Amino acid sequence: LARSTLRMSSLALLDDISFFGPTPPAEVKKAVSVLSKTTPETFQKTLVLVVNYLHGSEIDSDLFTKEYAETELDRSSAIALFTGIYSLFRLAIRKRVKPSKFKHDLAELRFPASMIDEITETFKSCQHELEEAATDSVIRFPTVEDIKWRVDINISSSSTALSLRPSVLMRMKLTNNTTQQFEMNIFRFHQLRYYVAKTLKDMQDIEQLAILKID
Amino acid sequence: MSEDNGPAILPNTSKFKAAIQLMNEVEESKFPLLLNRIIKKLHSKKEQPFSEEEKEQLVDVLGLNLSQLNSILDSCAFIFEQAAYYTLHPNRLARQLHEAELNETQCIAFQKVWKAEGNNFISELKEQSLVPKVMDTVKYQLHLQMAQSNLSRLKEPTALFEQEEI
Repeated sequence: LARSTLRMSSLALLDDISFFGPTPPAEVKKAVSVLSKTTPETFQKTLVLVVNYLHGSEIDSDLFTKEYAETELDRSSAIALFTGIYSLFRLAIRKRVKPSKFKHDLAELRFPASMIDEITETFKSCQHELEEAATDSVIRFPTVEDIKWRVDINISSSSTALSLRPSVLMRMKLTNNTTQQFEMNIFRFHQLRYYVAKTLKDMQDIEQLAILKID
Repeated sequence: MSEDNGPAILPNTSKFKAAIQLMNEVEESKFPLLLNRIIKKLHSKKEQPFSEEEKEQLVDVLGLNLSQLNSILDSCAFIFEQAAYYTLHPNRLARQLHEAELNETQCIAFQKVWKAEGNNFISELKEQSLVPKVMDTVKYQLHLQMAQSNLSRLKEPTALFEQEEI
């Protein structure tokens, strides 16, 4: 009973605190104040720019000036708006917030109601892709890309006229462009096989572990 | 049981015959110890059965000079290697040695040592491989990634394997 109440209160805590923290970040507050005098078209343009930037496209200062040239915003307001929206999105992607919580927290920030839906839609559409891109670029040790194997039986050699010894030859291609080719005897092969099977089983068991349910 | 001993395994050269005569003169009590040491170290290509200092000691103990000692050590090693190649039974080995005019006591010493250590030696030889990389041990770690710099609340299991080569 004690453990379940503790878990319920920590979950409640997760829901209570907004995804941007206990207080809104300064750049977001500034962006909200700029929003009151922004036209819907400019807002739409800003959203598109932010999403492209998050996807990795470069925006230098000339491009920025060009994009905002025909809008009603002066340079410092445009900068404030772009930075605030970008900051908001980056925090939301990092915390992996659900769109519903995103919408709820936007209301706390005093976003104009008309724009909240538009932002949430944009967020929903790009969230999955950006999370995938983040996991793709994570630091990792080289992984196995390809495995080729063969089984041999050593019939005889210069030291023994009759030795029927089986062995496994393996060629592993790794993601760092190296190729490892090596042999193992049957005992070592069984050990490797057992360890791989064991880690796969442990991975499956981990996913069932209730204490790790954070989604 | 037929008397046919199969192909002659030991050569009929004068050098080998001279070595046999030298072996015949080694003291009975010392010969088995010599053989034991030789067969135990024979499978490793890097280690010699006797180091240089030990060879000096043997030269004094057995009353031979260095070249005679080397001849004896090499011939014993050769006899064991041939026995391993043909997977000889200890009795057959003894008979082959007898035909090569080795003394009875020395033949029995060979037979005893071969009976005790022969199978081990043959299996060590079988394990030898010409392949440059042979995998020795595997170690593994199972990790669960919980977060990274641009993403939190993750649950990604990863396995790390470390393979060592002999």
